Amino acid sequence: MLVAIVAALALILLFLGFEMLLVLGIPGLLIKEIFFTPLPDIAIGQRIVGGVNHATLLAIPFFLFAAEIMARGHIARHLTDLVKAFLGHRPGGIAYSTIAGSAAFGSVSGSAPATVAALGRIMYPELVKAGYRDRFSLGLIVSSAESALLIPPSITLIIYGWLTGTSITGLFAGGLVIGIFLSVAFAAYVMFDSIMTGRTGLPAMKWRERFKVIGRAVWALGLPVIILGGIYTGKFTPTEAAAVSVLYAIVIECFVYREMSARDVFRIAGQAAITTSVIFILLAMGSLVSYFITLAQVPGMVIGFMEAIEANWIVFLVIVNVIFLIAGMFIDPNSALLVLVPAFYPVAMAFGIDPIHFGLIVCLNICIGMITPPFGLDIFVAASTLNKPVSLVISGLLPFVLINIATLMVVTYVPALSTFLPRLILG
Amino acid sequence: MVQPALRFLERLEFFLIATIMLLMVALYTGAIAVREFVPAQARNVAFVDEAARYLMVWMVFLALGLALTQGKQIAMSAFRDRFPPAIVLWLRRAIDLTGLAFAAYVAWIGLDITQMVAATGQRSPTLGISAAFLYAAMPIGFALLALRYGLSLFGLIDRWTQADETALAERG
Repeated sequence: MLVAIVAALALILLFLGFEMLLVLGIPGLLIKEIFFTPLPDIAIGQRIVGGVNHATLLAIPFFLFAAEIMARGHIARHLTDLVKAFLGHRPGGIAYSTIAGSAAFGSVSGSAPATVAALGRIMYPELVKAGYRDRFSLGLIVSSAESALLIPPSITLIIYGWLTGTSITGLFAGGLVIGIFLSVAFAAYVMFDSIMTGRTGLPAMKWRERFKVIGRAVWALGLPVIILGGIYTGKFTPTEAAAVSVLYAIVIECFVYREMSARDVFRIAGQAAITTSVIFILLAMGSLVSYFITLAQVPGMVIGFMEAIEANWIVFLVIVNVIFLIAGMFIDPNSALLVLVPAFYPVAMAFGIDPIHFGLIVCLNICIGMITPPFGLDIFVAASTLNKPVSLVISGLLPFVLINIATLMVVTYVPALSTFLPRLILG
Repeated sequence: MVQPALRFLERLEFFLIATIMLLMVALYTGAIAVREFVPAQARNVAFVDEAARYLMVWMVFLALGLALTQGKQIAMSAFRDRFPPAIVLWLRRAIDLTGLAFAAYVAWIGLDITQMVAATGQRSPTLGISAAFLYAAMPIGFALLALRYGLSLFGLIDRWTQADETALAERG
């Protein structure tokens, strides 16, 4: 009964617009004061400080810092020019370039909002020039950016890995496959649209020009080599790869492209620190909540419920998908992870679901949450970066959300899609 | 008097968190360079992992207040701002008051915990500094946050006009 009251309180705080750190923190402290009075205060401190004192999490500020440098510098532009040089002449070429450019930027940055901002500024004017409607262009930009959360590095997958102890390297390998799969699904829709509307592409680029574009992008292409190559050859841990990618991004933006000053780098470092803090304070408060979810044996209750309704793993995953989708519509991705994963992960393990497979289902749900109203973060990022009404962005998203849900079903019921590459790499 | 002091505090916080971010990158990449190029010295950079984690904890807590001032703390404001203006005003006061009480309480228990850890004389495994140094980030960070909630409650800072969804623009 009291648990229900505390949960209801959290929902009220959430809908009244209290900061998420209060939505998570106040119920967390109340549960402690009501149910676990003998627990010393130091346990609270250990959860809050310990919640962020973790080497795996260090990768996140580094990847956020690198993403902000690349989004404001020239790396994003050179990567999109590269895909445009090879895809632009096809019917629907600019739309394909948006999808592939997002995936390319996603392979150097783990942040979907940074991808929306960077690619939106570059590709939106080109999509409109190529004759695409506003709605379609905005929908495409917002949804393509999801691949940044799936294609490594991915901040969502790092947090999931940290919460559950799943190998980040394995999650990244699975995320690569699912990210490409989702991009191909979007590309299929673009192809259908191009055939229906009889669209033509840009004039094909000559090979001499293509080589020039490759030459300019070659420095930017070093980044995925460092990140993925470094991790999979065992040279770097994901955190080390993240630190190296920051240094590399600073060096090419400041010394190769020469458009960024030391002052800019310092300012971006501070902004990235604030972005990190905003996410990490939720991890700190969330680990307090997770702690009590475990202490209160919520996973056991969920297992009991599943047994009572005689659910198998298929039914369980349907329930997981519905709950994550609804949560993702209202709360930010990291809070959804922190509250729901500790409750459902042990149940998933009890059903014998592969931890990497479960992680990718969760991550894809988070992706869909980021592009679904009313609280899809990426919708607001696109609206503010491109100065368009939120309602216009939302109106263009429907076909992409449907493609996403179809992809989610495939990913959910074909576990091998998520697990074959991690198994191949990890053995 | 209040405004110049606040601006100074904001600049100090920003300077500290940006410096910490750059320092973490320098430490981590430096340690990799040592390990790759002078493996014999690798033992001497073993402290980096712990140092970077401690710095990260401090960076997260030191930025709490500044993030609130800039309207960057995440909240679901979609429903809140649809209420009539008079209700929105009271709701904002209620949020500030609750935030002030919560942050002050966490700062207070944080202080308690820090003193307790200091009294045990517990030291960190590789740096050998007092573990209280790590926990001290919590009371200081939450005190900075409580200060901002309090200032907003009394109308001394405006964290709401920039706090619409546009401020969410750069998040992971």
